[in-house]
Amino acid sequence: METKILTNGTNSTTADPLNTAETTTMKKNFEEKEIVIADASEAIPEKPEHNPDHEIADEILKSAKEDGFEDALQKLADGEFEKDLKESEVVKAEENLLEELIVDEEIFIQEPITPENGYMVERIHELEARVANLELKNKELSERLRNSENLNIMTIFSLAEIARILAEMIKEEEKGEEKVSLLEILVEVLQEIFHAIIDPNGEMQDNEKEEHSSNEEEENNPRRTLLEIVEKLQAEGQIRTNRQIQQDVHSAQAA
Amino acid sequence: MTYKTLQTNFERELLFQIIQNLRHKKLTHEEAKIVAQRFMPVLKSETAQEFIESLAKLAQYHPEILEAFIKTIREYEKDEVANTLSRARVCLSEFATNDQLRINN
Repeated sequence: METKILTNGTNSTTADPLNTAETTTMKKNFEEKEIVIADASEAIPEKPEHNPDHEIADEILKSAKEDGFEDALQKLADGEFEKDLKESEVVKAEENLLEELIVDEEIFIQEPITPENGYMVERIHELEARVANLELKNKELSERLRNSENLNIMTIFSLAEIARILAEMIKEEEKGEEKVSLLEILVEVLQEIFHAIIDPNGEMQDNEKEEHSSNEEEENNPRRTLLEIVEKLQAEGQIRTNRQIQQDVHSAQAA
Repeated sequence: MTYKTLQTNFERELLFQIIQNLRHKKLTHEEAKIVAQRFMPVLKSETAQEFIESLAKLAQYHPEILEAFIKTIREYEKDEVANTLSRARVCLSEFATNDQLRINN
């Protein structure tokens, strides 16, 4: 393209502006600006808006190019483009499932209490109370567990060893009456072990103390019988003495 | 312009209108489907005149058909007018020639 440039208002010359140095510089500056603008637009990408109609328009155009105008219109009339769109929508719905679930949960939490969900609210309160109660019990158990450091471990070991011997004796015993008496003793031993475990400091409840004091007065006191048996067996060397057990425990703890 | 050419031109223009309106959110895909469903039977018209009359009726209800109608039918009618005038000129010319010959004889 040629442009007339007037100089001093008198002469006119014909020149190609693309060949002049000034025009070249301007063109270069313009191109640089364009590049900067293009970079800026790339730096802030616009979030693509999901428009199903836009997708259908693309599908129609594609069909018109490939199949012809009449076939494209026929497909549109038959709703064939909708099917493709629905399939793609299903895929997108699956992709956004987690997000939707989170939104639903928020709605559920914000939902006002109605008679229908009132029962559930009561149930939640009840369960929360139970949890609080269980936490309290857990604290108590933890406390008791800490106290169990003072457990009279010697007693438990001795009684366990007696129980083992009694079990062997019961196996070997043939007579019914003696077997029964041995079994009774074994039951007592097991009860003692149980008491030692749940009451490590040897402290008994008041009612238990009363029961024990009244029982001690009886001649056939099983506890006394048991102690006698223990002393007898220890004297005969059939079971270990308390000191021996203590040494074993110490060595086990050291190991 | 033949009737077949008119049909093809109209189909192309209608598709253009539908696609453009879908992209500019002036038309939903459900509405586009209805437009196509109503237009397809019109293609079975036997003559161009019948085709144009049917489209003129549909154009009252569907802006896309109206737009396509204005663009294609106007062109078709201009073409038809030009052809008719051309034929008329030929006829008149023939008539004038024959009349001159008759006067000369």
